[in-house]
Amino acid sequence: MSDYIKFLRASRGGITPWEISEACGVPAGDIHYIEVKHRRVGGDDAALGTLARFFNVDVSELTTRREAYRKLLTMFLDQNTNSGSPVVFRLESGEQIEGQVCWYSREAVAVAPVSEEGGQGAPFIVQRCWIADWRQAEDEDTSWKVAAALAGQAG
Amino acid sequence: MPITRGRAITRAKETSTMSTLRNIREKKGFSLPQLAARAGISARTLTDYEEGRQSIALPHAKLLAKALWVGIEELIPPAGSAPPQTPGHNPAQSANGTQQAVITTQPARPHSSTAQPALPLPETQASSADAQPAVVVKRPEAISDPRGRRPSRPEPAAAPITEGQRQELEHLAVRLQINREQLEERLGKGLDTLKRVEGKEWIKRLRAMAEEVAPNLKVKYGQWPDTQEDREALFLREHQEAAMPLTFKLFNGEVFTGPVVDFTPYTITLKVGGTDMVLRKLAIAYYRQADDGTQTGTPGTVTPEENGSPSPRKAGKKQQTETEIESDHIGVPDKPEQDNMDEDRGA
Repeated sequence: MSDYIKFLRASRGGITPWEISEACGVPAGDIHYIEVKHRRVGGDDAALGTLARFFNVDVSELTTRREAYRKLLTMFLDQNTNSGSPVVFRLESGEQIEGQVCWYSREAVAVAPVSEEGGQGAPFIVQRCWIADWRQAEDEDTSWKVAAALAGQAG
Repeated sequence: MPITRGRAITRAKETSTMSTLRNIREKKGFSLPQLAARAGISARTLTDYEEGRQSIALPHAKLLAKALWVGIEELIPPAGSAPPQTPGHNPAQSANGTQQAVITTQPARPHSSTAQPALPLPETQASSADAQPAVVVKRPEAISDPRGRRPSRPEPAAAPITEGQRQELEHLAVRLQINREQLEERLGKGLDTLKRVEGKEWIKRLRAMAEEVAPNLKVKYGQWPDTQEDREALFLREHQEAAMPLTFKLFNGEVFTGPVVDFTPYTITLKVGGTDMVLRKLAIAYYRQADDGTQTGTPGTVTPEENGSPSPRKAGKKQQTETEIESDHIGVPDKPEQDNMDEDRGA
């Protein structure tokens, strides 16, 4: 959600959190907090609703991203970088990228597709802000981590 | 006369409480006007409280407690109990060596673990016919002690582990390649039963262990690229030096190919058709080495309808990108990219 808020601000001409706060009343500190924290944040549904109305998006666009916080993805990347297990990332655009995680940094993940012969192709450097969901390649297609977390919340 | 006695007792209690207010104020080193300003109460009202002309109203008691950094129960003791001791007051000792006596019916406060047990009153006070419920005997030096004592707070050691600490411990366990059971075995207790201070200590220890076992490539945001080991920066620098073209795909589907000319933590500059094109990283979905026909693997282009999984984000974002967002690239023909963090902040 932190990256999505940044994206929404950029799409509105780079509006600052202070300007958003003046316009809709959500404190600038709260907006900044959502953008910079790596753990799960954004528990205030009312504030998210206000931000969604301000940015003219559906509130589900924010609430569904609440479970895709940075630290969760980092743990997944760490686990699979060490193990070498192939993973699948689903991007915001709907594309899926499958391969082995070569390395990851704060903003990007290098995913090298594995060929049938077992070799690795040139890695895709995927920007983390566009990763919507992730799972291990050997899991079923329904085992997306963020979707599971959302389903667990709804249940 | 029961009524008279009751009134006398009540008045005695009020006087005792009001003198407590004065005691505390003087101990904190505030004058009456100063306390009035801090608490937002008129000096006249404060004088009435201190001299017992009226009892302290509860809202005012809260303001006074906050201004004096004491608990509200010290200003308004519960009915039937004695005014509590002033924090930091040591009843067993005094500067001149004489014993000061205190009788209190309240339980000991959590922070006053060093308080001495109550001692019996001297005979002269105990023999008073209309004995008051409790007496707080003020030490001479207490008046001049300007140091204030904050109201008690829960001991940090007793506070349970925070969610952030728990996640960090789990993350460190992953780095150390141990599961939760092994982690709890190492901690000696369950993760949920850890205290905050213990969690902090264990995080320090496990981080040190993890650094030895699996050094973490820490990314320091904004420090780029020679000063630290950001992998993406190393990747970009390698390709920049080799002048190898990269293919960039933006979030709106646009594709640009060219060698990297320059990069910052926020932007990447390509040479596209003889023109320098600056791409904001926030707009880049992914990139890779330009396809020369020998590469294996392409991202699977799966539409929501094909795999059956709903993707409301894509629809919403597509509409937004078409109507509101321009391609986030700016042509900078001559000047090198100037890294300005304010750009990202929208200034």
